Amino acid sequence: MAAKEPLGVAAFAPSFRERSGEPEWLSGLRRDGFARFSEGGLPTNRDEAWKYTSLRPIARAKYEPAPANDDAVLGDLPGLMLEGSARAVFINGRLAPALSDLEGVTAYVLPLADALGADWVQALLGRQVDDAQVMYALNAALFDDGLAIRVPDGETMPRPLEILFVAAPGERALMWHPRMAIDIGENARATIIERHIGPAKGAYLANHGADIRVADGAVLTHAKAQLEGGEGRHLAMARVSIGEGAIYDNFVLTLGAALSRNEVATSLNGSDSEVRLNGAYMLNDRQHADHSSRIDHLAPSTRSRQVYSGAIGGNARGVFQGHIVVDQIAQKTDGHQLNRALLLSDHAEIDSKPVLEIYADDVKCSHGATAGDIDDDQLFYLRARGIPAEQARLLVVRGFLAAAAEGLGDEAVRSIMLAELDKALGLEGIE
Amino acid sequence: MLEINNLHVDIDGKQIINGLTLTVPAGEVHAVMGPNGSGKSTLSYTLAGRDGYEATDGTATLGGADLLGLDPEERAALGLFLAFQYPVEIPGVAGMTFVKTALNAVRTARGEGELSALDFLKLVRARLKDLGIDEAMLKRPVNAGFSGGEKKRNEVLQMALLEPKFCILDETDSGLDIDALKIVADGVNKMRGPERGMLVITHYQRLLDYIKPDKVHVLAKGRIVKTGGPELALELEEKGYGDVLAGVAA
Repeated sequence: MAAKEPLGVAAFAPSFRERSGEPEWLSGLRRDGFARFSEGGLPTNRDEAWKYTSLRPIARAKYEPAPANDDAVLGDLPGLMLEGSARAVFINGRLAPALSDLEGVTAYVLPLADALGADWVQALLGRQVDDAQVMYALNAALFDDGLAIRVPDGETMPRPLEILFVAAPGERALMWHPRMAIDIGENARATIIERHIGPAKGAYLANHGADIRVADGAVLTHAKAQLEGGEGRHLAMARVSIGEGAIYDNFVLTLGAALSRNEVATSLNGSDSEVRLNGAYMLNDRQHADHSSRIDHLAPSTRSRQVYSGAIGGNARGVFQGHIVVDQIAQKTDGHQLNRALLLSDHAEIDSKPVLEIYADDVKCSHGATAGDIDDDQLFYLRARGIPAEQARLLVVRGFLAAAAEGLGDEAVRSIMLAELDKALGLEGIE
Repeated sequence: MLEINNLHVDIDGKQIINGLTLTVPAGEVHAVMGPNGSGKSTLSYTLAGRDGYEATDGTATLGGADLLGLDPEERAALGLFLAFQYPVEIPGVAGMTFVKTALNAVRTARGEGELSALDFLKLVRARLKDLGIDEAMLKRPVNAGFSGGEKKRNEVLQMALLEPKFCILDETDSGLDIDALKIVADGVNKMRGPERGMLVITHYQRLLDYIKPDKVHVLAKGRIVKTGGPELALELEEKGYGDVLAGVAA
């Protein structure tokens, strides 16, 4: 009996091609990525890191690489999420300079293709990929476009940057694999807001990769609103290294896509560094959303905070996997992780898998997971003040989800994320 | 104003309110006092319409309108207000959002139309000023991490904004030190008026030093077993419930 071919290799192999004109290190990276993918194929439920999220539909969908010529049909682009931001617009995974406004930040934000000669880009993209990071390897093999974002030591990016990813899939099932390289120098600051949007109809796969360094003393606020279309599939992985005294402040709002996975792998490399990974998600129908995180505490007195809150209705399924590793030198680690889910229907499901691996003896680590129904006390309190039952339920859900954003340090960014949530709940303008 | 007649309430098959009859006319403040387990909280939840607190017999009307068949929000729109013994924390919802939503819901139900953002802000600021409450309280999530005093002041603020016809104060003194109690009582007293009735439910007489009732009812085993003037509260304080109830047939 012939060995079974790994999942999805036949579907993705035709998309891989040697590209001329790229630096040798990148050609090597792409070949390695493709080899790694070909060997194991798409991850399956037998892979521990993918136990609850099946990529079989992706293997079956026959996605074609989105064409370079931009004949995508676009409606009007939405306005900025955060006033005063610069904006980079991607259509089907490719930067659309004519639609972007990078005034004031052109020294900080470059098309990735224009920055491939830079050592820092090579250093970030060339980092070791773990075995489980198969989609990331596939992204390396196939990416066509992306951004190189760099804030030099001591500087603050003059405007927040919104990266708007617009899906316009059309008749055929399309895919794209954008890649971001982000380097926030020592004591530098930046705010990056991702927004992913797509139409209700039309199948596509967006497989994102981001390589991020937050150098000593730097602060990066990185928020994302995932509002993909109803037939969209969204996979995203960010790998983040965090230097001494630095803060990586990440928030994700997951509302869209039939299938999504938001994965963040961070290493706290310098002492007194901090990572905040928070997220809120609201799922309905047959949506599946996976939030996975890995935090490696590799230095003393490092701090991690994670709160993910979800409201799951219909036949939807939420997955949370949080893996914290505390190295033996990482004494005085302070790690806290919480996953809370509201199950709004009998068929809703949450799978929660926290893992703590602790090799140091003087640490404070906790994790918790809750799953339950809407809080009756809260509901009654609101109704007793005259708020009709349905609106009261929405407010309770809103409160439940919004509480996850409390860890997000930047108040303006928090409020735009909550505004998106309110829009989805039909509570627009409530604050 | 509030008329309760022969009210019976079961909770999980157990009779908690057992033929309670009580009338509070407009303009009066009545106290209901009773020992633990006498049915005080069940009475307030039943009147406010909490799920699971349904009357099996009897009636309760406010201004002639039947309360028992209504949803909690309909009772609120009718002008009933319950100040909670334990105001509920709602992290993730700002106090300002909450009071604005509540006020507009009640105004809409009463056919008064929503207030403009500006008019709402003016009204809130006026009430905050009356009650000496800092606006910062409304910027925080509802009751989240509030002290006992802050929570009760928040209840009084909501009461002042919603301008109910009838207020039920459920153990408003619990969790308050004497200073906080005075502040809260001041707020409640400002709400007293010829058109408004109040039912003050309490275990202790202490609260009634600050919110002086017109009448005091003693609740035991789910019924009003004794009614008197303010002096009855003092008698209870002095002698305890045991003595007062001893003379009452079970």
